[in-house]
Amino acid sequence: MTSHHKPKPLWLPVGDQGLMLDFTGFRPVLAPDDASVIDTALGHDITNLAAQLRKQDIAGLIDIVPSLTRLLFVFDAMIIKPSALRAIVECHLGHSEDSQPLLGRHWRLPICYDGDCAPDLIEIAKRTNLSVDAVIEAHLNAQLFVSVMGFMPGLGYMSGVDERLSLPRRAIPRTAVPARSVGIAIGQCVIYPTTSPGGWHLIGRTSFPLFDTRRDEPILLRTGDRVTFTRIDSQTLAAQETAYEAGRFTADDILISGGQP
Amino acid sequence: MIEVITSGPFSTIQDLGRFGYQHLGVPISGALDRDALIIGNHLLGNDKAQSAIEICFGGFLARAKRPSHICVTGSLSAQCHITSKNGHKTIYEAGNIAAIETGDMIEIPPFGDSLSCLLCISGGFDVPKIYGSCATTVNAGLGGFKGRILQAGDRLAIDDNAEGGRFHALNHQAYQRAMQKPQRLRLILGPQDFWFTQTALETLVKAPYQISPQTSRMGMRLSGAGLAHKGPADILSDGMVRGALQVPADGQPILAMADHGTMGGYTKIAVVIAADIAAMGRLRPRDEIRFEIVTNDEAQQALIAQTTLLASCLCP
Repeated sequence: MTSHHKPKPLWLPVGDQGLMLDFTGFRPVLAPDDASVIDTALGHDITNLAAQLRKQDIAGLIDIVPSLTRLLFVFDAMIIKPSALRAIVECHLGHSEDSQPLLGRHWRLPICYDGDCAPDLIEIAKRTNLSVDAVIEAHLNAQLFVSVMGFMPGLGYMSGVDERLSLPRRAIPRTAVPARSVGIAIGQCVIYPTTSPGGWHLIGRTSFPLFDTRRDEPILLRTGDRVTFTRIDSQTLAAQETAYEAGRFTADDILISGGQP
Repeated sequence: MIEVITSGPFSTIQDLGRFGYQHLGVPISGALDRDALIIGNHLLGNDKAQSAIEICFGGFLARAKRPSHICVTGSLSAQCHITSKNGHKTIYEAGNIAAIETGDMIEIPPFGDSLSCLLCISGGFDVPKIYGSCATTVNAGLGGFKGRILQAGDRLAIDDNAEGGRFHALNHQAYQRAMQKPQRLRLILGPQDFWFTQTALETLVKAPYQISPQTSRMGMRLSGAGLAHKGPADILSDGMVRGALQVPADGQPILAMADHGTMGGYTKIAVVIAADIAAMGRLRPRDEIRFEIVTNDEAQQALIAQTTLLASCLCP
């Protein structure tokens, strides 16, 4: 890892077949991390370290899952001992390859803030002491950055949300969040690619599917991409959904810059 | 090919899962009861990761469109009823291989112990592999048969190329033990146990939790004594594993199951040990479960014992 990240990473147990490397500095008493911890440079470094370790083909290592602040290793305990895995990973910590800058693309995603599309909008306004219009304006004005992919195929965790909109997740997660719902929590924004359980505050809905196995590239977003929203009404939302299914609304229509992989 | 007549409440194509793509957000999925899948495939001479139909609760009916061999594993009380065209019915208990002929009706009546059983077939089912696996992730519309639960009228092709395995006998005594439903699940504390009060850590092992009806292949919601955090319940989302015991702010834990998201943002108080993961998948809504904290060494011993038991089910 690059030297500007001071805290020494710490190992946490994840059952008997997992280990988590925590880069947050690990404040041991009351440290549920919040938006203030978000450090996209750190997230970028963790993603690079994961890619580097993936290339090593370490026997018994099943999966390496990066997040913004932690790196999860899943392994087969019948093949590799956790102590051996830790030693191998620690060898790589000091000697990271030069991080390649992320050359992301810039997407402009339509968003509808009306009615059923935004079931939590009024609650968000109440809890942030803002008017509904101010919430929408703050959300629309943000320049978002995909800092890590995860949870479900096509879901990107986006940083850059206006800090006035930072709320914890919902206390009781919903069992079914409609596909393409846009949610905010702890200073981040996500778009649910498919209908799934979820605990974020739903602020709107986009018309463009984030994940579709019928496309050549099923997953739209990649780590490093930028996203801005443009407001549409519910009629436009429906029209764009129809146009998408008919092949008349494609990724080219929402791409602003950086088309090549 | 077999044609689904009645699918039952939740039947999907599953295999051992989709590994190595979680960094893209692609969940692992695969059979809830991995051990049952491995045994069923072994009996039929299939590769252990071959695809099968995971049938939750039973109530499945299909018609064979060509001869093959099938085997039901998992639930100890699950049966496979084969009715030939002339109306003759033969009942096969779980763990026994049944020969099927063209036109036979294959029925898995509702069963009562485990959540699911696996209907394995010689050669496995011929569905496209996505990211290296046939497993269905219903929430993502990914894999299996059209990315969804099976429905009446679905025609499932059998993989002809993979056929020809030698059948194996089952050690029924070991099988009875290996397929037991758990009374307790063993846990290793962490990775976020230090964000809970001492009382929460004591409460976790004190009283049983009931499996809520709001349970899916993604997560098993539990109801019981609340587990209090020292502070807020949220963390920045980080990597998840099957068996992670997450606790949202309401204090009622959720166990991550086969279709868990690749990341989760609630604090994880503990994780179920590898030896108990397959058994965890047998729990049904309204069952009760107790937790027990073990050390890493105890978990390793349990995994060796579990692996040995699984191997002893499979006569060479």
